[in-house]
Amino acid sequence: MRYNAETYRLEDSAGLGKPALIIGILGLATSVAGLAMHAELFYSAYLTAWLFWLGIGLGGLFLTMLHHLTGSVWSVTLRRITETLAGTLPLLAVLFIPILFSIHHLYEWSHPEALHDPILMKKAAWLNPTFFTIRSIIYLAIWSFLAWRLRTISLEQDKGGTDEHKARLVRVSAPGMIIFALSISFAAFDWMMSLTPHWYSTIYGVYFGMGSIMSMFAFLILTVTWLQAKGALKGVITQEHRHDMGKLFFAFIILWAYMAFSQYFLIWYANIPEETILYRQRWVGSWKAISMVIVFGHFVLPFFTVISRPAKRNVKFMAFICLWMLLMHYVDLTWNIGPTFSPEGFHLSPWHISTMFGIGGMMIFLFLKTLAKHPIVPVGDPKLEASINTISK
Amino acid sequence: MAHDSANSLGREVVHTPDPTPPPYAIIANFAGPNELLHAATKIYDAGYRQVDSHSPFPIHGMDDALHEKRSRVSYIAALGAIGGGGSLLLLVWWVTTIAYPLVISGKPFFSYQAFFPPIFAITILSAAFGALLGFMYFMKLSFNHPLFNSKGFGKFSDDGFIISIEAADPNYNEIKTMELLKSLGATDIEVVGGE
Repeated sequence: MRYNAETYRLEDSAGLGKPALIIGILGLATSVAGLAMHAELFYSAYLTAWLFWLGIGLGGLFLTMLHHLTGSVWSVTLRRITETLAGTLPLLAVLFIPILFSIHHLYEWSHPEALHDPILMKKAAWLNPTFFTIRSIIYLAIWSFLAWRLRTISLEQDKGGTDEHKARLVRVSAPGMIIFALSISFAAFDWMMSLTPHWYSTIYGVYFGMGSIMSMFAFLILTVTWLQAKGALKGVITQEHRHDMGKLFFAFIILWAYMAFSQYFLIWYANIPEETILYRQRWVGSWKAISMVIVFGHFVLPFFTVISRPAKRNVKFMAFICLWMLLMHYVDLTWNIGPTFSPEGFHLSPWHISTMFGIGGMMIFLFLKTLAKHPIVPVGDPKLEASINTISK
Repeated sequence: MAHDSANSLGREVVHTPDPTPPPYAIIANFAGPNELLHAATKIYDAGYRQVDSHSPFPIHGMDDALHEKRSRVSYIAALGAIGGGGSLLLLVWWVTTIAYPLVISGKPFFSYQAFFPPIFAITILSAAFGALLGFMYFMKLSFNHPLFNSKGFGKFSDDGFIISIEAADPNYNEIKTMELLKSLGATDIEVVGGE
């Protein structure tokens, strides 16, 4: 990779761009074969993979808006990377199209029998294909718009930053954050929770959101590690920034666990069959083992290993645990989505892998392509120098 | 300390009371956190080791400037967390299975899930207590510290950014140390007496 330290520009994508595109195209092409062979399993795998990559894009949008709202200094050097992650949201909106065609495969409430189901009849005003499609388009449009707007203003700032740019970014972020919180919650209700339409949990959207933001931090740390291994951003993103990212990564691991336990706890305590059914379905066959893997792998292991300060400052360890947590986030999404389609236990199909590589390849390709187009730090931000010299405690 | 000493025969040495107590440290005030950080770096580089900084708020980078070792408070906090959370879990187990077993909504006697919220809260609380008590222990808290003899020193909790160089430092030399501080832009340089 050629990196120009004067202008902070990547001059190519270090030979990762093209392979990502090829893997993406191959993955999606293989997935089409899956569609022909076993539509239901394929669509559930596609939904899982799409939500996985969507979560990383949404996390990027979240951290960018949070950065502007808190006016924080340390994250200035990371801002362009999170903006670029959010910039993949329009691509993910396009990749949502297959799910629109699969409503009848995925969602029980769209079946003709739902018209005779006393509970689903009452939910029909909300859960029907037309309104579902409209809502989905609204969520994706909101996120794409916010990502585009923040990025546009930020790129204008590169040509000479003023307080006016900062004020405009805050003006977008403040309502944006509220809309983001509501839309991610409703989106998780629609796309994930309505897979089991009789069941409900009000914390579900936050649970999805925390997991997504956590996985974005994992992806961000890995991106920075990769860029630095290639010689870019030396002395711009320092150990202090990596420590701060590690702290937030750790915080969102705990927040995810907090939401997961809060949901479980109330359902466990009340012990009402209509609510406990979710956990009942996940306590059979291999789902039971996967439930335990999530408890220990998604919380206990990272909690006790990432908690210490030397661990957060250890590049190799953090790279390993970030990869592990990305895997765990995928397992968590599968645990939420899978049992509806294979209730007896988890079956790893080729489509799980092909969709992950297909969507991920496309997303990473776009991410690297847009990252290389502009300076990879916001050069016009007046706080850039203070950010480079930041110290984490 | 001169008046504590006894001669080799064990007889009390008779002292005339010292008109001025021996110096304990030199303190100096700086204009702001950046100036203090800069001064601390220079003073450490000049070879002084018995140096401390006193500011109204923590200054990022001060620990590194003075080459402070990493604080051990976090281990005490971890011990507090494990001890506090563990003992509540033990209490819950003992109460619900041995002392007073009750069937509550058909769940097993030892339904630890129900007690996670208080266990979590007590873990946090005892970690905080561990941090506080550990901090008090390691900071050697004392209310008659010699530095309090100085009137100007109290500013450290208001708007003073104060550095102190103790007389116990091998490099300490009243004139040279004062000159160094002056060259670093210090104001209100003061020799604080011990006792």
